[in-house]
Amino acid sequence: MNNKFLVTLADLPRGQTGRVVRVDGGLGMRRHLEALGIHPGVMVTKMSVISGRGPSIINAAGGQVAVGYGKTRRIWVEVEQR
Amino acid sequence: MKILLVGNPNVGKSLIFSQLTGLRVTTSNYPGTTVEFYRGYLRKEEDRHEVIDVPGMYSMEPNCEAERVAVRMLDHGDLVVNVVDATNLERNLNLTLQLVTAQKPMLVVLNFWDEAKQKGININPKKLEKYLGVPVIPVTAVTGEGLNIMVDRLAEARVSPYIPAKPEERWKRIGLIVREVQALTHRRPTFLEKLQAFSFHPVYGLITGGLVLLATVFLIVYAGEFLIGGIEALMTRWYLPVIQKLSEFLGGEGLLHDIFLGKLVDGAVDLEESLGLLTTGIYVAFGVVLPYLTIFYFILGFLEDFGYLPRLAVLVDRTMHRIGLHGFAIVPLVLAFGCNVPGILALRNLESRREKFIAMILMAVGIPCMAQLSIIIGMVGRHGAAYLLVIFAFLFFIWTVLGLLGNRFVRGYTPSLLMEIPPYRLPRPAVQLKKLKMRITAFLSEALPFVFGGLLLVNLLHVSGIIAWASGLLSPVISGLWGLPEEVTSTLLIGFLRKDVAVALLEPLALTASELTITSIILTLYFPCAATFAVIMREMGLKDTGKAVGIMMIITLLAGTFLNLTLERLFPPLMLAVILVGAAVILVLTAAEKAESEEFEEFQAKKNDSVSEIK
Repeated sequence: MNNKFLVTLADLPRGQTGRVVRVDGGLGMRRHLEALGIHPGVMVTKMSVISGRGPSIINAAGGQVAVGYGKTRRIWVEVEQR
Repeated sequence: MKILLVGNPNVGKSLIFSQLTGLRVTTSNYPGTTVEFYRGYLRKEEDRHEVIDVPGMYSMEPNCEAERVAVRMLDHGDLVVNVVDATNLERNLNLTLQLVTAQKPMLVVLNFWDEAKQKGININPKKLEKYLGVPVIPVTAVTGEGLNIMVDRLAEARVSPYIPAKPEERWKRIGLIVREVQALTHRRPTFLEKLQAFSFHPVYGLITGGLVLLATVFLIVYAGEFLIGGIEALMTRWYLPVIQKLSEFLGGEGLLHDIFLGKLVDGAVDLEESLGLLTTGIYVAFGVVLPYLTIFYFILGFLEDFGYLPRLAVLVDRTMHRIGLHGFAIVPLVLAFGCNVPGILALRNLESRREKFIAMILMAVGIPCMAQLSIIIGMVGRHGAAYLLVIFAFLFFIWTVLGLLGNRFVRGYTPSLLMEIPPYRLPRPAVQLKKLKMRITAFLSEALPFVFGGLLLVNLLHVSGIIAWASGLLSPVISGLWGLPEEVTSTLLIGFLRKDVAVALLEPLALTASELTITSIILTLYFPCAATFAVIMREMGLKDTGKAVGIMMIITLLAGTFLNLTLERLFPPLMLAVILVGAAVILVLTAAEKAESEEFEEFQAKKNDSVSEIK
């Protein structure tokens, strides 16, 4: 049986993929993220994270994007877990 | 006709611009290399078209100054060439679909065509043409492949007949287009891709980053020394005899002799100490600065084109937040080591005024340019590496303190990092050499007049007695607080013009090692050189420049006094260096947690605040 979990990108374990469901932030931040391919509905994979509270490396829209800790805590993703 | 090259950052617009116009502009493998627009001309049969290289932008809603420049440029063009990264079609089409709303004749160029094929990305340009309603041309800018086809098809550019997708439907439409025109073949990851994953490894990535920086420093210092040895030998063998003949011809004295050859040292002209245009001027520019600068730009060029700088930005992000900046600010700071002017310009990539101000202060106060560093390494290095270490340790300490204070007191916000990470790309030697040549030529054409001007000015100031007057005026500070001989006043005056010349003027003064160290530090801190100052004024405005000048004066006063009291009187140089670095590290570590929790709270508070983030 598949369960769906909602976590922030900051809490998503390294190597996991999830679907972005919500971005908590101002219009400016949402637009900026969107321009780099991170927006609700898109699948993202967390490739790496630099130390606990450092930036995460995210694969999105075919490219790689570095997202700072402050922003990863505001991006919610849905993960399926078996 | 005005042709605009528009596209996401780091898609190769500048390279295409260079290929079309024959003009050289800096190209690199990181987003945000171009912050100003460049203009050139493309000849096509009888016609001459203006081509404009526009800074990269991700969307029509700008996020930083460089993007604002780009969006403004759009109104001024007759034809838009949208450069698209074929290896990253999905994200790039977001801008393409927005550009369609500008209703200008447009054509789309799919750059990195060869790389896309290697990566197993197959795009059908004909199909894409149908979906976009404008011509689509695959090119490989680095080899020039496809560019002539693009030029031939410029006339076919047209306004897309398709009604632009509503913002909320744009990504759906992009998804549909990408599914239709692009096919992926799976293949094993290449060596570069494995290396990419490796550089972000939480442990090995950081170690690699440290090693890269260390290797850079060692290469500059040792390879620089090696080159200088060679050039010095050449100069003594071929250049000095000519100068000596000239000196004899001029009779060894007189106004002309003083200006061009300088004063005799022990009855002969001395390339280092005579202070003439053709002696010290030539020696400083070609014998010391040029070798170090060449090696610095060689390494920087490689790191830029390989794509390491954005990785470095990610690795240092957490530390940088502690001093009020985010990781990307490391890029302007690294550029500033070459010359502060491009460093200041690159600040346009930063989003908030607060970040810009902090980074500008750190740069103007604490980053000596390579030209100044070359002379410092040459002169202070003779007294032992410990004194050089004091200089670096002290600048590092000032940096940390300024950053921490800036983080605490400069109002505004520092957004957390958000940047595209381009793939690693093997630099092409031909492109590298052209870039190196361009930067060296720029140094020679922009700096040489100032080097000569500085030496001319110092001779004039001496003759006119202004230096004697200023020395008397400043003596309470220079001798009283800093414990330096009055003669260094002249170097402080010339330092307003050019820092490398200023340090070189210390050569005939026979300063002790600690005096030389203190003066070198003061010359770095007290004021930016004329060129940097002009750019700071232009980029930051009068008010921020005024604040910066005030901060510099206070720091210089305190720093000189502190060093006068501690260096050699209290601690030997090596110990002082260790203490300073230790203190800086402890300060950063203790301030860290607080800064981060504050950043998080700021985001909480900003949750519904949409307008202020855009402004």
